[in-house]
Amino acid sequence: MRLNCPHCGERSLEEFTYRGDATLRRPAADASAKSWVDYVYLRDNPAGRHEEYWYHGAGCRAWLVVDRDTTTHRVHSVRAAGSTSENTRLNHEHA
Amino acid sequence: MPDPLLPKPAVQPSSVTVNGLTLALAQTRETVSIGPFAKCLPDLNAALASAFGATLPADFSTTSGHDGLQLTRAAHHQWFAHAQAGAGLMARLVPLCAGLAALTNQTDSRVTLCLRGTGADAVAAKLVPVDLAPDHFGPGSTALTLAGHIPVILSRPDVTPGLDFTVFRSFARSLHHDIHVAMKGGIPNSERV
Ligand SMILES: [Zn+2]
Repeated sequence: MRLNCPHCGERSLEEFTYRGDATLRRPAADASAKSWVDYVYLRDNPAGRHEEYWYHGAGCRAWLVVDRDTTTHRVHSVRAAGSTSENTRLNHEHA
Repeated sequence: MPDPLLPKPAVQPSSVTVNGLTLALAQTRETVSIGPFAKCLPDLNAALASAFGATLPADFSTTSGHDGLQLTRAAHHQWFAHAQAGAGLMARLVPLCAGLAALTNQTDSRVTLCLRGTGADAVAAKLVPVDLAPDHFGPGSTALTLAGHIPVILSRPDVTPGLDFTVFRSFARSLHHDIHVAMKGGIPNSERV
């Protein structure tokens, strides 16, 4: 598998470290215990498109969000975590 | 009593040659890192363009401007400005970048090791994972990568066979050793055409 880093270009998988589900959102401080258990411990195992954090340790050392299909391994997009597009999406989701 | 601080070259000897390949410590250049503040990149580029005729490259590459200035993308949202020793680079950049970017003098923080000669790519390829093919990594290209376990800024300065490894000064001796060993190991048969 290769990832097309928005900073470094296409690099091989060995340069990156998987850093978990990029769709998790921290619950409000007063959220229920169930919400917190879900956030801290429980993970979905989705078949299909999924957003994941990857860290480009052997390149730009940036955190990236990879939109990947877990059934075909097709990578739909790679963008910088915290980039405008991600913030826009988060604001949209929270709106 | 502590040892006095004495200026010493980062590696010695400053140049080694193996089978026609040379590994040499580059002359120290003035280096300033530029970290643009949020939303200031357009104004910063306009200021650099008016003073030096060059802007910060958007991709991992190096561009040249007036008075020997070179601008290299060095990391995510960070660039290095280089100029020859004595150029007074920081003094020129401070008024230009006021309010637009954070400037840090990096002159002593990094050194550059220059590998030159036919087969330099084949030797470098033993240490770095990036594709060095000329159509992919041509003159002016830069890449952040690892040489063995050591983080480097790899660049191909021009069309002469060779690559530059810019590295934290404290890693320079280890990197020099690794490249020297790779040179002594020769060109792999798979790279001979
Ligand atoms: Zn990268």
